[in-house]
Amino acid sequence: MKYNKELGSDYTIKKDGRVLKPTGPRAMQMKAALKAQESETVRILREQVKELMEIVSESKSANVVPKGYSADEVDKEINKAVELAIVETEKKSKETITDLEEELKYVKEEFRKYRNKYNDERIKELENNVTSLRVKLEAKEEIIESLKSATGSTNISELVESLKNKVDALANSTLDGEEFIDDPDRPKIEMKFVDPLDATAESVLEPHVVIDEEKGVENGGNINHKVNKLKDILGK
Amino acid sequence: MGNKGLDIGTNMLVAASVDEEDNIIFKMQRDAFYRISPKSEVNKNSIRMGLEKRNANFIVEGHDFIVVGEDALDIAIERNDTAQRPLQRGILSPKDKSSLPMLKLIIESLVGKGSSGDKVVYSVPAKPIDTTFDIVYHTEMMGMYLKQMGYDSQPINEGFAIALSELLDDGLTGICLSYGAGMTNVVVIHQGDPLVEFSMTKSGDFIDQSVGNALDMPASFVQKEKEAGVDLIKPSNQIMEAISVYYSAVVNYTFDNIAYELKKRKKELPLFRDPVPIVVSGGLTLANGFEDKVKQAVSKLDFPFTVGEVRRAEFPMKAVANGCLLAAQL
Repeated sequence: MKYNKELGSDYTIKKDGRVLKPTGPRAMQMKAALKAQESETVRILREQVKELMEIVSESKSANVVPKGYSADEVDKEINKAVELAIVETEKKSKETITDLEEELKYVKEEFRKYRNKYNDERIKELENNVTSLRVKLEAKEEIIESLKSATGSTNISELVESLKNKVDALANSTLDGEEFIDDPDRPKIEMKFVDPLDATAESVLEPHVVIDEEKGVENGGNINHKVNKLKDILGK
Repeated sequence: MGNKGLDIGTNMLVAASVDEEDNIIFKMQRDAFYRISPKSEVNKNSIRMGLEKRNANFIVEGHDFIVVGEDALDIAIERNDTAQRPLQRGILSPKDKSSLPMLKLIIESLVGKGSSGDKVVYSVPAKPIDTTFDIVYHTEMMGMYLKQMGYDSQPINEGFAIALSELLDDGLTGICLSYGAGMTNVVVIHQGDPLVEFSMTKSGDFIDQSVGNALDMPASFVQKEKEAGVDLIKPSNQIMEAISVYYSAVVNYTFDNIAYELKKRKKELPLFRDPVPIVVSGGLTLANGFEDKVKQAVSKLDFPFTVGEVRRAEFPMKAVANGCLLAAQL
């Protein structure tokens, strides 16, 4: 198929030379649509060209060197303006840095305050713990004192022994899982031991027993030093 | 007469008192007796002369002689017999009344008669862990007899008495063991406060009987051999070897039980800041190498504190009486 420049793209030239023009309904619809599009496109392009021409004419007028100034003078002024802008920027930057430094200083101060406050709180908390432990210790000592006075004993070993005996008595009194509640006021049986010996038994005995004191290196030494040491340990 | 301390042991009675210069003095008597019944009046006179010649202590009861103390043991062995002992396993037996008069006489010969205000602190065993006997009867009866002799009497645990005697330089902190004839007494004490107290029936008599059974010989003979001197590390003959074996058994048994009792009370135990010393006392500890046996037993066990030195009491036969005397002075 050949393209004929004079006829345009709408025409089709067959091999035998016939020139066919599209005149059917579809071709007519396409032609109508194309025409409408072209006209709209052209209108938009014209408007754009007009705007561009206005811009070009404005820039042409702006680039004009003012009268009475040479190009070097203009450059100098521009450089001066640039330097001024740099100085202004530096100044602003320095101010910003100073502001940031002050802000940092403030934050550091606040941090230190909080840290001190936290430490103070921790110390206070530890002091409270010590106080509560001291109170508990005093309470424990009071309990020991009350136990001592209750049992009439000042000797720890006696106290422990009497408590053990009480526990043993409780354990022995509990039968078959029966619950036993100790009542300190309840009357108790008095333990009595009767001498199984006949009172006259000893009178018929005639002793010939003499036991000498141990002498020599195995003597126990002076007692006062040992007793004083013992009293120191037991706090008497 | 003043205050006194009295160690009432199965094998030995020891009294401690103070002389005019405040020095501690001891009196000891073997806790044994042996009855001799003469066959005729002539025989009676010859026996009496014989006893007086060897300076033996004896009691005349009607026609009979009751030899007491060390001579009772010797004469019993000479006659291929066994001496009697007033105490069995460290305490008086309610069933054995016949030996009570002799025991009273021996005690009175040791402490004498007391006057108003005189105090005797006497030792009693701790509650046993391997038998069921009651120590209350023993404690009360001994207190009653001492009262009859004119004393205010006060009982004290045997192990605790050793602690008073031997742990003064350790702030009353340590483990004290009394290896007697009838019983082994144990106390674990912290700054004067007894944490664990118990006794066991395996001690000197157990060794004598076990060796006697093993080698088919009287226990009293084994006892005499043992008391003549034993080297537990290098036993010199078959008897000594057997004695050494049973010594190890008793020592291991003791420390196994101490570790067991401490483990039971682990949560209640205080903090022991320094290594805890072990003090052994009593007749059994006189054997050469006894401390080594203890160290061996301790090394195999895990205690809730560091074990310090193992040492024998300064005077192993007198430590309990000494502790009782110190307690009487407080």
